[in-house]
Amino acid sequence: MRGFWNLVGFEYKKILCKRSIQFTLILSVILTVFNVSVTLFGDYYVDGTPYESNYAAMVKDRAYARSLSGRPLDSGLIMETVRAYAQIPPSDVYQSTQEYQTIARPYSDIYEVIRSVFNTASKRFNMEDFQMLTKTEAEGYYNIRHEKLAQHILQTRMSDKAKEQVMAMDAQIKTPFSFSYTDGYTRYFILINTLGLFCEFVIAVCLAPLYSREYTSGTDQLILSSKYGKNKLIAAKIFTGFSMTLILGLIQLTLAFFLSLAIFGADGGNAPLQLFNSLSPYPLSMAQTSLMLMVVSLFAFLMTGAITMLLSANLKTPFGVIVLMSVLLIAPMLGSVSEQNILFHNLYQLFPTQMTSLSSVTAIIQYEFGGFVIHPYIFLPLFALTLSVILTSLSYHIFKYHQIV
Amino acid sequence: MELELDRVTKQYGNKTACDRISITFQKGVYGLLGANGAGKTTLIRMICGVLAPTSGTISFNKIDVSHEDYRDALGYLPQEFGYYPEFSALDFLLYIAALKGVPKPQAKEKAWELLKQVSLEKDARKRIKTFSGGMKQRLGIAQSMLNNPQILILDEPTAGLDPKERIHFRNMISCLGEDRIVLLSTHIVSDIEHIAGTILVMKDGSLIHQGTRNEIISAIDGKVWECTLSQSDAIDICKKYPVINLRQESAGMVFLRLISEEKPCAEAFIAQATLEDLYLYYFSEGSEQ
Amino acid sequence: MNRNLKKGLKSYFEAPPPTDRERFLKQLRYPKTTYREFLLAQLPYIRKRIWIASALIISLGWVIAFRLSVFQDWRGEGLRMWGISAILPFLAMMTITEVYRSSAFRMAELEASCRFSLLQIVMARISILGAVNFIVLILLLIFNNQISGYSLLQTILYTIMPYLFVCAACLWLLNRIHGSDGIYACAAAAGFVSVASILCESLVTVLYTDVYLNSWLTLFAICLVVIGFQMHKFFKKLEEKQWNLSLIE
Repeated sequence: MRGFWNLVGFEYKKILCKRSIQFTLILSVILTVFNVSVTLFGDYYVDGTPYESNYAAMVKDRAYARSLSGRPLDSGLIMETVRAYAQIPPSDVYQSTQEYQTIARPYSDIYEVIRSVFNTASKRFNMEDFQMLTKTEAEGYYNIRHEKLAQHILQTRMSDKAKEQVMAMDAQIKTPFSFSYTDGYTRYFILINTLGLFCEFVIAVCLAPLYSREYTSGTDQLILSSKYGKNKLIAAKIFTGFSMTLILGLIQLTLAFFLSLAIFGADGGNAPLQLFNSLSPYPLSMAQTSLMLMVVSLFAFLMTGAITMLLSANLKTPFGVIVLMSVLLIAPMLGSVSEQNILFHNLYQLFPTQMTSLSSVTAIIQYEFGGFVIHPYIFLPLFALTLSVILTSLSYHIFKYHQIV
Repeated sequence: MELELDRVTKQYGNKTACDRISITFQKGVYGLLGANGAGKTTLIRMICGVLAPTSGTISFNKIDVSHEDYRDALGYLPQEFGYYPEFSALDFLLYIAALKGVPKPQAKEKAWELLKQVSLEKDARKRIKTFSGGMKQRLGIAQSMLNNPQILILDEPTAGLDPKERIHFRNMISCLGEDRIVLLSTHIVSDIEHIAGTILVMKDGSLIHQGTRNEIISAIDGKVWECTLSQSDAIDICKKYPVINLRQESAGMVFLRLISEEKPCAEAFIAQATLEDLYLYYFSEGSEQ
Repeated sequence: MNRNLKKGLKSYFEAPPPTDRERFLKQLRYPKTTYREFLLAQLPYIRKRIWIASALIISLGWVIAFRLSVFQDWRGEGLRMWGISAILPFLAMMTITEVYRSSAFRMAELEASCRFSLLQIVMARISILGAVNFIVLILLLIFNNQISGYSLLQTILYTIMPYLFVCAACLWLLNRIHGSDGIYACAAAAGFVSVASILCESLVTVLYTDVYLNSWLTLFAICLVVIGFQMHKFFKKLEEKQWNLSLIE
């Protein structure tokens, strides 16, 4: 066993002693910090002139939201918000008005939660529409939400069983929502997709030379002719690959998470997910969603590591591995697949970069196999794990039986 | 101690790189001689288990080549020896030792011992990328001995070594051959001549001759000639016979050493055959007969 | 001599067989190629991957500009331009690694000892690849100009910046890291810039405003300076090799 750990140590040394890898790792940490806090740089502009710094705006909005935290998001609070917004006079850019800044702005988070329910396919629910919201409509907010969600679910091409399950999940959500300031968590939800892309790219850069370097440097002959070269050494490489992936992923995800909470505030862990996405049918809190996203992302990272290792064993040069992995990671982010085509939609969510997005993990469209309905947040990590095992055994086999011609 | 090759064949499509090679190695130093493309490196790679034969078996003391115990008994220096540039010499040896299953304390001790043996102890902590070609080759030789192998395979081991280092290496190999199987493949005929107990001659994928130096040289006894001729006569002789050595002498005369079944000219006399002569005899264009 | 006489002599007398033909041909001074011919001769030695990558990038640019529905939303024009600029780093990487092929595959020493020196070989490659890249960039700029309302200066800046950034990064890396490791580092740098470009997707509407135009111009100038400096360093190294070789003689 000691021999195995010794080999793992050497594999880590081979990766980490390269200056380019050290530089990439340091840069990745810096960029994560930058990514979390980037929205706080610069100024908030109104009518082309700087009104206040983004940081000051965040502090102000946080204070406003905190003042409303704990209140139920019922018709009373909704109408209070409507009355505040009703005082904004007609304007091209309503945010530039004094009335918005002093009266309505404290309720802006409530407005953002409410409006998405009232959007329709043909018309975007804007501020002017909100000013005209009636008490009846406010009282019917949760019914409208339920009907809209039900319509959306019914229009999908899922089976009836899946649709029932999704509706049942939605039925578990307690209403009225308890409003809370949740920016610490929602900021994390927004950036985790791009953070995931970045982490996966760093993993690809670190693991690309794992096997391919042996080919390019000519050490494959020495390794494959040695006692442990065809078994323990390969196991050590695989262990190094996955452990490094997990360590990198955990560091980035937890750094981003805790930094987000530290900067924006740790409030709202128990608040419902629906404060971020009011039409989500998942009865989860912000904290639960964050944990779930982290777990699924870690599995996505493992899958990325497995794919990288397979390419590394097969392609003989790290250059080709990096180029292919870049295409695999970036290309899916340039497109999308409609929910109407369930098969392609679900397949599309299985790409490593798609797995780290909240919309994939908490998608309405479920995975169905032989009568079983599986939630995306369960299926995605299971798929990642299965694929990782398959690809890992392939890369083991390829390197072990690599012929030196 | 027996390394047995039984009808080992390697084919690439229509080309046969090794054709039904059967041989049993026992303790001692074996020299593998052959022209480029004869199949020496292919044979060596199959013996080292890094290339699978198309057919045939390779075993050491009845242990098949694919088994871990076989590789445990093996030490190998490839023709183009790879390394990690940022590793130091010591790091590299410790890494190879780990691959060979040598426990860490013994690995350190053995690594220092070998570094001393190949005169690299002062450079042990320097990075390999700063080494000269000869230093890298010596490091390669050192790594092949880390696990005290019972089978030592060396492919062009003296490439890049200066004459002094080459002699030192020859003496080292001679000592090693006392209690293990050493297979040495090289183009430097004098290396084989000085240290190999048994010489294997390979051509077009087959072993065409094997035996001691004297045994295989006896094949060309009486066929090596020397003569000194005029320029024009020398040109005619060169066209007809394989020439081993050509040297311009004074007064426009040319010294020739050549191989011929019969006396090539009146001025020629028989010379003592060497291994180099044998090499030319087997691998020149006119040696098809 | 009279033509009929020549004809007559040819038909009545047989020409003697050539003697010492091989030696004569060996010492004959044959006409050598000009630099122009040499430049054109380098064209087939540019690897196929460059042509394929260039064609792919142009096609992808067209698809992003005119076809992909995900880009046809309310932020449309900025997003499309951003999408096109995000794929250009790979063009830069392929170009730079092709220019540095000699060092990466250890051919530099051999090429430096030829009639057309290493410097001339590299310049030939740069000329050919520069022309190819110029065509690709012009086409993509045309696409961007068709779909966006930005000024020409903004279109050029926003499209070309990631390309220039990767050029500068790759040149810097290859002047420091030798051999095939340098190529790997370039691939990582290109991927990194592309990924970073993706990360900035949400900032597109802000970054593409007039407020940041001066920052873009400054970055553009810095990239050009870095590229110029690194190229100068690279050429100097090539020239040193020649001087070193001549000192050995």
